[in-house]
Amino acid sequence: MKRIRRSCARTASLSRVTSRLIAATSTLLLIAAGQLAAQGGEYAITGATIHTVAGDVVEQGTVLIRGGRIVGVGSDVSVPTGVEVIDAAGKHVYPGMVDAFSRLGLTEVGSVPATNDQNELGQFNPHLNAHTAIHPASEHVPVARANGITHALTAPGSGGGGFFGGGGGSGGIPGQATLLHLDGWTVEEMEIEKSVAMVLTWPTIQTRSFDFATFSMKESSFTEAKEKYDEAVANLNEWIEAAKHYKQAMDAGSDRVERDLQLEQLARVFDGGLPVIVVANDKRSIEGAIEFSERHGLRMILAGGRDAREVKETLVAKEIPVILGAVQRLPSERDDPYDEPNTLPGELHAAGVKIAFATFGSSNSRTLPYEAANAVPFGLPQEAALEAITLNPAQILGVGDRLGSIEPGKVANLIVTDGDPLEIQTGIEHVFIKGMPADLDNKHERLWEKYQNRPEKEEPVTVS
Amino acid sequence: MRPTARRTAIASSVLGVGLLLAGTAPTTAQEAPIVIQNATVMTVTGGTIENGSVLIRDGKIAAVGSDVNVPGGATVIDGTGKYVIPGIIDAHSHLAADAINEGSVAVSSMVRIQDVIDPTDINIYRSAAGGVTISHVMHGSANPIGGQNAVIKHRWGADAEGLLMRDVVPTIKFALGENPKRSNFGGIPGIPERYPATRMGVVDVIRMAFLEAQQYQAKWQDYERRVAEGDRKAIPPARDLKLEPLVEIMEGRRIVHAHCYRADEILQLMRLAEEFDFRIGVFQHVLEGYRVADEIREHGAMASTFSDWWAYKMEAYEAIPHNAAIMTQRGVVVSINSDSPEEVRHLNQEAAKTMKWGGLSEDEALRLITLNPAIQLRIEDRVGSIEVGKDADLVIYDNYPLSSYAKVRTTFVDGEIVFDVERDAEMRQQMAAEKEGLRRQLGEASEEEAAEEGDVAATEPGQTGRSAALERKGGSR
Amino acid sequence: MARNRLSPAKKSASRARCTRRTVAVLAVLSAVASLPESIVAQRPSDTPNPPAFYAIQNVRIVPVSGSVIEDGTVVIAKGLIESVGVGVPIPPEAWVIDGSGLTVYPGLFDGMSSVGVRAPDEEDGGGPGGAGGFSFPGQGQDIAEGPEDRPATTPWTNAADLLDPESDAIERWRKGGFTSAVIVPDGGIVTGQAAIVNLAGDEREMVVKTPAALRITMDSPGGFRSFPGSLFGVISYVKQLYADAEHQARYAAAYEANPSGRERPRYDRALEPIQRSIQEGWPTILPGVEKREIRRAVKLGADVGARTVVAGAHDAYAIADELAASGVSVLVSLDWPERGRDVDPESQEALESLRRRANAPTTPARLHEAGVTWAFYSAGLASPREVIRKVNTAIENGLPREAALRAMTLGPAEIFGVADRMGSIAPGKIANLVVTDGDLLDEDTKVKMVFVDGQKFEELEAERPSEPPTVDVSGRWLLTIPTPQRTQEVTADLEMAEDGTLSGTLTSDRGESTITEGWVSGDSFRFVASTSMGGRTFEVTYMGTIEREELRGTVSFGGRFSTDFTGERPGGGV
Repeated sequence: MKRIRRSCARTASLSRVTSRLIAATSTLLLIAAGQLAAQGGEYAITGATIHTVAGDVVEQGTVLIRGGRIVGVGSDVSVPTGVEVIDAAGKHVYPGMVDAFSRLGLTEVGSVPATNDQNELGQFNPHLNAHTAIHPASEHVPVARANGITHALTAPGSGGGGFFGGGGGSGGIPGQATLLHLDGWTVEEMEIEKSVAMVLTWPTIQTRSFDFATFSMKESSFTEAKEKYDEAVANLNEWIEAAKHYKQAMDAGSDRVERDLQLEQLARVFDGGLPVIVVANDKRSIEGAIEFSERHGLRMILAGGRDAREVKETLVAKEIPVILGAVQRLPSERDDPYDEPNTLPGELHAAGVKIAFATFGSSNSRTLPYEAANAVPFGLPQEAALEAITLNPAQILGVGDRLGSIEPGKVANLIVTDGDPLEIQTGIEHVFIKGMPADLDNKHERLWEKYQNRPEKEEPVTVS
Repeated sequence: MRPTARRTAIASSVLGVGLLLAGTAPTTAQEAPIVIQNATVMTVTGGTIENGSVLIRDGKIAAVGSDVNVPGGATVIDGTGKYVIPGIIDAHSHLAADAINEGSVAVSSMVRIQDVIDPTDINIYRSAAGGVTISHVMHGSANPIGGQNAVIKHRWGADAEGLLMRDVVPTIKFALGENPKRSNFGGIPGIPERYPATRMGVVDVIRMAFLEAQQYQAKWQDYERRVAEGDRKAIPPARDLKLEPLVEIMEGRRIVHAHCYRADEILQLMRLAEEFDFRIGVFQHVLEGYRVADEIREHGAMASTFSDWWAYKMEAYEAIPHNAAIMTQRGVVVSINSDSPEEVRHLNQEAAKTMKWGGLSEDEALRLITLNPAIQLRIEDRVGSIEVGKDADLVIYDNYPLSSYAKVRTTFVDGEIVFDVERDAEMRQQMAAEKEGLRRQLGEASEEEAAEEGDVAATEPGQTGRSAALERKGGSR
Repeated sequence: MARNRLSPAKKSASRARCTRRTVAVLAVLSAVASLPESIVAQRPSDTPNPPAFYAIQNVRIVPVSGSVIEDGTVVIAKGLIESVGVGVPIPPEAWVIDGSGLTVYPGLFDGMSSVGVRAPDEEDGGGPGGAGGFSFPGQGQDIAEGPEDRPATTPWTNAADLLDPESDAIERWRKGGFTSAVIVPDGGIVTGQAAIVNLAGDEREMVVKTPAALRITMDSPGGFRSFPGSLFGVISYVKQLYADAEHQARYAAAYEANPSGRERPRYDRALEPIQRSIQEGWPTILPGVEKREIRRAVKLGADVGARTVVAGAHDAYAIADELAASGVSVLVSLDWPERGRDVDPESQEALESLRRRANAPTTPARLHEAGVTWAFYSAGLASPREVIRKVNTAIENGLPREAALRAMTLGPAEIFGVADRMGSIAPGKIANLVVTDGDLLDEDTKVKMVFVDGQKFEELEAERPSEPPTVDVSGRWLLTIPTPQRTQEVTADLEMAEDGTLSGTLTSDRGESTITEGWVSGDSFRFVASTSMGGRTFEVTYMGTIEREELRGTVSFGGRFSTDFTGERPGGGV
């Protein structure tokens, strides 16, 4: 069999690859330097176009990093001596990207239960925290990081162990989400906020259920499904009420109430405590969740939000931000417009809803910027798309004062690229997390390196 | 009336919209020629032409270049700032089928996707809106030897027969590894497990099936010999719909598309095929193909893979997004497929990922979703690139197609528009109006709708119900 | 004609029912019927043999096969129609019926039904996956490992052999004017042979023709573990089955001619009826409701060389010409698609579903215009009244009334090859007639009498007290019915005429049904409605009294189960 020879176009792309290898090598050198400088080395990224997100784009600018923080941004920042300088002429600097809802660190191989720690048994686990089970050495973390994802929210799910998992639409409280830097030897080094939000899954009305008799989906009674839904909502209300009363008693120093871990943790959502990320997609659920949050005085963050456009005015009025579910999904109903998922972010943004993108996954966390990009040709301004994976999620999760933009005083989570990070072909050349250059090597790069260097077989096997 | 070179937006054809809505096949006969002008034409085989034009006539590409004459009566589409690429071909799809798996048996080669095509699957349209013009609709991966696949064109509105691409070398699905292993009903009380449950058994099942097929082939050869010798008493052997396609495989008349992940199982299947003197046509998924790319090339097989999916199961844990690039660089004909009604909507972006991970060139990346899947389906003489004489399966993008910002404007199949952004907007209005009309006809209109009845009934697109049904009938013939 | 004293008791029993004298007679004779025939055959019958000759005169005749006769006579002799027309002589044997103000039609003929068909016996259930139900798919089932196991294939099963002449359903449909039906076995892929039956008599009398058709469904037998577990598995299986049948026939013949040195053919009882169905050109009923399913059925039928009858056909309106060209026959299900009864009020119905609901009832008109051979079938509808109501939907959607009538008389007779003996009023044909007080297709029309095989069945008015009502029950009631599973709530919208005749509808989460046979007398009431439970339809009879704006009484579900119920006015009355 004749070997197909590469076209001359190969030369160009090869040189690209080479330059990326060089970039990777220089990062390694930086890491070495960083380790020498110990925690809080000093770095200057110079000559770059700086997309601060907080303000104007700075051309030919410098970002100065010291002690894990950004200490200078601008075109007139002077670089002190002894600082590690990254010449980023012709390059771009962006804030590191945030996956606002992920499973990073909780799962390794989807179909292998032994590697999964995301779905605990039981529907009401407000006392559980994703932080507890984070696997810092997960191969998913460096894969995401290499594409410029510098921090992520990791959330537990619910309904583990069942035949089909999930709560059959009955909702629940899977537990607390944690916000992590995607770098660190231990979870403690990764931690930004151990407990950044309480996750609540809103019940849904499920009239389509799997029928074992015919092994197909079947339409069942709405009345019955609605009854179940109402029961599930009532149950959520009971939990919240119970937590409220528990807190009331505890705050008053009562010694007649036994310690209850579930209620104790759930009670953290009151009085401006933990925000509650409510996973809800259909209009009824979103409205139900808004009403619920208002009644109990919760700080609600909507996650999913498939039908959010139908309640966008309410979301604006009540200042409820939305962590959007996948843009790369199918429209939910047959008759929906083909681009319904793509136009949703732009429509919400235009209405004044604060939005963030998320992957709700782990192995695919690196595709976060493309989720955002896919909304752009359908009405979301490009800058808004960038904000929705940097500053917006930081603000939504209550760390906007520390993360999400390139401003002096903020934690130095940022990336150096050869272009727009929302564009697929853009290369991520350096990633800084907590002011330190992060290792861009990962399982995929290693395997690529190894197997592209597999010696070619000399003689083709002859077969008749 | 046919003024020369009407510069009209083709999307405004109300008749066209009606046809699409009504679910009737677009007619190919005697349409006016169409010229797409001043676009960046990425031909795949003939380079990229800036300010290029494509002439479509009778469903075929009639001319391509920077200097194409506009024939009289042609509809001209201004492609300024836009890009034209060949229609995207998805080499692994499960769209438009009412059944995917016959999982009861380990060898289900008797079942055929073409028997269960669902032309009403809205994902045919949605993926056309993502630039897809051809899909290889495959049997599932529940069995070592699966069913017979079908190749469809995304002629949204056509019936099942109208969707099927004619005169295509037939294909069949094989599946290795975890899927056939775990589709064996293990652990369900009262149900006997299906053999096999290991990779050893998977290969055994395939080998046994081909041994059986060899015997079957011999019986028929014997019968045909006797007939040729004038034996009038010869009785034809009993037909076996399961073994017939296996004989076709051995005789090179049917292409095997084998679902696989791990390098070892890829190797084993090639050696098994060599034992029976045939070749695996295309390895599907083939996420560890990068480890045995040379062996795949030397066997004569091709590879159709994902862009960047990994870690969803054990055998996908060593998958890398550079897979397509490594295999390409080692001389394997590679395509990027979707295996998903969602992923298929942005295969252009998936192809672009191979430029980022693995460093393929623009042309190489584009080939992964156009010419290469065409080669894998043995239809490269008809589709897969923008060349004169090929089917006018084309996509117009508003901007650079190998980008996360790319947006499809218009998709043509056989020179017919199957998707157009503006037409789509009109269809939405028509759909709303038709729904309202139908609800009125059924006496279920809401009070608001009933109040508007007079207004809507008077408007053109609102015409619905029985009269529209009758009209559709006229329109479709 | 001399009385036939030797007529079997069972026969007498079924005839006794014609006269509807007393329930007691029926009970006694039924008991007798279970005794050995040799004993009772010696004994004179307690009732006279029913008349064998009738003349209906001064009647309006709608023969279907000819033009309407406004004032004519139909003569019936020994089960057959002897003469039809104006001024035809009335034979001296005839019992003369004055048909003034009445109309006589051919008896209604249901194009496909399971009326009076019981489930096949366990041991006759066929190969793996045959009729007989299952729990978790495949659990405890025989597993078919391939076509050779002949899964869910019982072509030898004949609906005629599954007849239960005592079935209530037969009487219920006959009362509504149905005299004949094509009955089919249920369950499986190749469910078996259809029979054409008349709806009176015992098995020997009822069957007109069998096998009348072969019935094939596209249902996989349930459970992925047993072959075939999918739609395309079923299609491939059916093709393999027909190929095997053909091969078997050819090989068996060759073997018989020269067995020496040849492997003998394997015994396979599934193959012979299949091969016969092809050789003898049996109509082969294949299902197809949506457009692509119809086309699939047509294609499968053509692929195996069968004479295809597509059953279902709701989307046939869209491809009527195509069907006409293909030459297949069509059975149109009268169970028009409806919006789910208990759906999310916030959900939007899909365009496809709206189109189907709006257009399915235009199918009959379109098939008629296109010249397709077609007929209606009852498709599980609860009652003849429902059938008439749904036929009217088709008429409202453009189907000429004559064509509608034909589709329930001569139409099915033509499809199943018995138009030479039934389906219209013509001399020599079987005397299956329905006599009404108006247009048969009007929903208010009453069936006055029915003739099956020349035997008269007269619908006597249900017994009803003569006392006029003393209360007015018109308006809405909420009925509460405690059943073992749960408490059922039913809304009754009643309308009482001055003479106490009661009409209206009942609505519950099982749907809506129309009240029949309702009356109020004094402070008592009775009415009947139908309901479906567990896939079966029951007549539900409500009876009781009204006291101080409260209903109290008992409700009986098809005589199988009864319970007390109460009713009150919502918000204190209308």
